[in-house]
Amino acid sequence: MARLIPMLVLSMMWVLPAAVSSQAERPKVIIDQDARGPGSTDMNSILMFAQSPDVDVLGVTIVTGDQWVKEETAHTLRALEIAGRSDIPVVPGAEGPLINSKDESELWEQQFGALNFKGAWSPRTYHAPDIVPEMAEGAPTTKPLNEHAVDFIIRMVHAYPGEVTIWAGGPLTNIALAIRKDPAVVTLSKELILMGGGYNVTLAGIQRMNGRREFNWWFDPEAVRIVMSAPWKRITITPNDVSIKTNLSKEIQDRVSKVDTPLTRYLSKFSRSGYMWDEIAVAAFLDPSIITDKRQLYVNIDIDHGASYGQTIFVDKDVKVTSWWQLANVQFDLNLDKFYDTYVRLMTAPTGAGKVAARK
Amino acid sequence: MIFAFGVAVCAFCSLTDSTQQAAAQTAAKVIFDTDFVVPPQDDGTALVLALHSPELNILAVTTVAGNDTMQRATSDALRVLEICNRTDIPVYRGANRPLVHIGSDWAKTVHGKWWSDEAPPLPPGGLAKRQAEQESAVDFMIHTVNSNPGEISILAIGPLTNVATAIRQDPNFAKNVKKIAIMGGALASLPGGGGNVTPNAEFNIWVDPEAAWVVLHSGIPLVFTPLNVTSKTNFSKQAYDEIVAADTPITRLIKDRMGPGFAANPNRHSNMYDQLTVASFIDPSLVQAKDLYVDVVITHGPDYGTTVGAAKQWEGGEQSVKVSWQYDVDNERFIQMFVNRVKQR
Repeated sequence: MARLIPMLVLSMMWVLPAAVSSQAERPKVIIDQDARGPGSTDMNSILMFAQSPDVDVLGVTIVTGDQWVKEETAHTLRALEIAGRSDIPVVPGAEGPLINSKDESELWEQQFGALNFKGAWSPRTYHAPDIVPEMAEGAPTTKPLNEHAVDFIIRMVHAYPGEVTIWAGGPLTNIALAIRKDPAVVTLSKELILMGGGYNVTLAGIQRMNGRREFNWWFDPEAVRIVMSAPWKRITITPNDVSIKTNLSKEIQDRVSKVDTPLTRYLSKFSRSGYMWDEIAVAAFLDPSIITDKRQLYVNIDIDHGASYGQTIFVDKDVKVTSWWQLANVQFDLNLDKFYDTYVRLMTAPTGAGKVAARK
Repeated sequence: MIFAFGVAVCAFCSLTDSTQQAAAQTAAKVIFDTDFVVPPQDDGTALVLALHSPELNILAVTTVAGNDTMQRATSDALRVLEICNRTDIPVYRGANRPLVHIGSDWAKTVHGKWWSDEAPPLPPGGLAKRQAEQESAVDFMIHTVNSNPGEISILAIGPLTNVATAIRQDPNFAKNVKKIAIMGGALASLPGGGGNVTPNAEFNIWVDPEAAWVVLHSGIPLVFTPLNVTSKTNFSKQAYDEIVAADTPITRLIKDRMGPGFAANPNRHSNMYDQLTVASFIDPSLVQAKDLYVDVVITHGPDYGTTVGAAKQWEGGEQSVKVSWQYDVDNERFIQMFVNRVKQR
């Protein structure tokens, strides 16, 4: 688990970068993201990790979801340049989900009504996968790693057995492909953390109501079935239920803008008010005390191709279930002050604050 | 080299078909993707047929879980390649599980080793000296197909897990595959279309229906050798006798493995599945096929893994895809071709 470092020591570490905790002590994290850009909950999560002196980000693996993988890769490269963290590899992954498709989603909508958010398939913003629309934050000069996300994940867990946290903020396509290609990914990784799904919330679903139809999980339900049926050592989930308690309000955005760095300028320009999603999953990883209500549940997903395709299904942990159900630690409430403080603190830290001195 | 091989084979074999000589000059590059088990399993003799077919340039054998574990498919394929003196063909290990389908207790009672990693039995005569390649089947498929766009076909005679994974991992892969010949599926709307594992599903598709979906919707030209056509094949003791009379290293293995069955029941007849997939890829005139719109059921219920198809799309079948569906075969000519090639030295 992430080592908790008192705030005072942390602030001292920014003054004396050479005194930063050694790379060997930091938990190693792969960030798997449908990194919409510029500025978004996805990008915020990557930037929070990049700014943190308490993690060693091995790489950011990219998956199609909120946008197509190609444009997301470009936006991530640019964001990391602005944040002074181009040392973090950006690794492109799957261009589409395993089974779900734009065509299938349109057939579903003909029967059950329009969805208000479909990520890369949203009609209002739709373009072909190969296109990278003009980037308001500027095009990157750095390049992605010449390796597929799936192979990168496999290689990292073998390079650091027992140490790697797989942190997923988007559809689970890359992770599902990785564990089917090499089942050892499940046993060699340290734990799985993800933002996805919804339980007892009538907001934040992709058809406005019904938080159980949450975007990340709906976009690739079969990937969720594969991933959530695997025997990870530990699974932690940030669902819609806790997202709807947050708001990236103007007040929070102003606290960030008060400090002037290239990163805060980027955030000032591109942040939008609204629920926070992936940021919660990062903050909770760095400081688990932020979460004030969590429950252990058996969690999985409906993959029958009917009205409820892609909806979260869950069962009380004391109920006897078949072997493919896994227990997950699901977050339901948070200490808002602590959470916003963590967000502001990380985003306003000096550029490159999280940089690893040298990886052995 | 392929041309010389083809000419040499034709010089010794009973076939002097000039079509075969011509075919050898433009041998089709194929990847042989299989849930392999030694004969009498159909994959076993299908590979032997392929090895004796100069029309095929077999780039590799890739293995997948299905009939048995992926591990068994690998060690059995290596051994058969060794016996047939074709250690030039590399073997790449593929998926040891289907994408989504979880093995149930019932599945384990009916040909259910695809949900296992148990150590395989030794192949006849022991393990081959050669080992499988280090690279994964999926990676091999992706870079080989992408560097030969439009040239490489896949003979897919097991569950489609490897092919589906390649399609999903690399967005260029699907448009670079020339064609896939699939042993799989069964349409209830045509004769012989009942299932062979669950009431309406054929085994290869049923083991990994989600993979079949991915392949179906990939845009790759597909030819199916389904139960509708395989149910019209007939392999008898007469054909078996002709094969084993040749007394080659591989026909001796066939005799060891299939002899007892024929001794116990000389009137035994069996269907040919993977063997017809390979034969009809080489010579499409052996079969009759029609274009149908086909889809696969991936909702988990009584018909999970069933293929459904018709001449036109239907309500609920809006995503069905036009494929070539074989439904009849000239069995006599097929068996003759099979026997003539398998018995070659």
